[in-house]
Amino acid sequence: MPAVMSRNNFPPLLAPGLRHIFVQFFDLKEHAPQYTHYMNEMTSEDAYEIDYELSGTGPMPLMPEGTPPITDSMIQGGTKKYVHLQYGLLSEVTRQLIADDKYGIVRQMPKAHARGGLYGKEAVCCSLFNLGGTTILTNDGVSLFNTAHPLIGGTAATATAPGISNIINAAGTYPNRPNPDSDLGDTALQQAINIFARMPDGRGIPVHVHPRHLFHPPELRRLVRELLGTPGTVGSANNDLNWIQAEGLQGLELNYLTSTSGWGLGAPKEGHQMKYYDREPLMAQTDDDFKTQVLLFLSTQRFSAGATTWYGVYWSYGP
Amino acid sequence: MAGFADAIEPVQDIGGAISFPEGWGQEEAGQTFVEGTPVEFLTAGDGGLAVWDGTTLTNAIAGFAAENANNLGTTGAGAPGPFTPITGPGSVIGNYAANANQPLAVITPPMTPISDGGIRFNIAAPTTRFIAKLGTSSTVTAVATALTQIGVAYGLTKDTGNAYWYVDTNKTGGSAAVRIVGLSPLEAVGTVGGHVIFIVLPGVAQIFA
Repeated sequence: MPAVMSRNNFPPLLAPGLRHIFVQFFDLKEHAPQYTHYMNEMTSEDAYEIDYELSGTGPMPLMPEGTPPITDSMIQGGTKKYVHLQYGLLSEVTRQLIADDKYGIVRQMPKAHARGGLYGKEAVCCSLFNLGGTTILTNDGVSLFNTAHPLIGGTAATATAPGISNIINAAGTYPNRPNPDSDLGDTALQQAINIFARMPDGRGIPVHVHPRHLFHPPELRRLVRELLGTPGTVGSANNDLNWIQAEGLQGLELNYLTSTSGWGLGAPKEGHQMKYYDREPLMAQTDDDFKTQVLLFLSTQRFSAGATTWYGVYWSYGP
Repeated sequence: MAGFADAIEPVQDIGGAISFPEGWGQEEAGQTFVEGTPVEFLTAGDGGLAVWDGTTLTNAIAGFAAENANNLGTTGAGAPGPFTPITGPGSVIGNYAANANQPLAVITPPMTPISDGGIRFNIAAPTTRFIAKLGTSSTVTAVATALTQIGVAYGLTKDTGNAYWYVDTNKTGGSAAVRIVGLSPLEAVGTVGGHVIFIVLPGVAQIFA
């Protein structure tokens, strides 16, 4: 692509007679924003935001008559720092091309930038799923989707939490990812929902968190519709009830997932801590270079995305 | 006496409307250099941005650090990918452990420098003039400026008394890395420990030669 767009790069735009110009950033409809369906959207006026986590106290034990109670306290977790990153695109166009463009298309460069800007937001937000098993970390220092999130209360928490011995992979931890990763299906979904249902807080007290969204790539659309929409047991000739329907899950297809087999569950926004901070919304600016008369179209935006904690979300990266 | 050097910074841009060209690179592990230090992209290992070794003079100096290094545990720790957030805790300096049960969880204090795994630096471009103190490594002392120094090529040496580098009149000929193109207009000619304005020799510049 030319660093500076000039008339010789687009000669058809200089003469009348074209019946139609198929302009991709006009004529190819882009997806509506998807990140707004699953990210907690917030604004920020600072260079960064820091989230902090505190546990509550543990279970209240028996206090025999005449004896003093045991003491307990809150325990601090780690912090999560959201550093707002700048994103930007610059397009340079000669004044002659702007003036001689018979169709007024080049001057609409900011619309193309807006399309690229939305892609940036979507891709960064979806990177929480795409890279949540590796480089996207939460405040506990391990990956967002992990088979062993260390609980603030350690082994005392898993000793307290009821019914999790068949779920956890190590004492003092709790998973939000299957071990090993599993393909989406009836059994895998049952395991995921069970992990949600048994989810304890950092001290081992069960918490009420229920998944709402079943995140999936387009490749799993058919399977998701079967799992969520079939009245009877999926893939079976018998008359058993499709138990998944009672879970009230909604499929949420994400076009920015890189895996064709990864899938996950997410609680309603108030039930998880995946966050998007809008520091500076998309801004289109125009200027020109006095000497060369090259017009400069600059679009920028600044935002951050991440997950403070792992609670309320679950992911499997397929088999 | 050692300890006279100070930060080398760009002072004059002769490229017209463009400002000082700045670069960004993933910081090599274990770097503790300060702003104003000559840096290079390592050509061996993982290729992180590190303090210049002081002796290599062919395609060697990428520029001068515009920020202090963060002493990262691994090269580029926390650097964002093409479309990802910062992948580390966002800060390195001042972090401390949160609790005993989460060995990797840290408390990141506010007001500590942001770390995105990289370092900004002023590129050793032909159009950028830098400013530094003048000294000699033979006695590790400051040297008086003189008009006869303009046009002369000298080396760069780290001050043994602090963290900064200076233009070293004891390094000439094959040891030279920079060429003096002027004296500081803020100091009288003959000032001992005065500042000189220089460019990095084209053959020494690593990425803008």
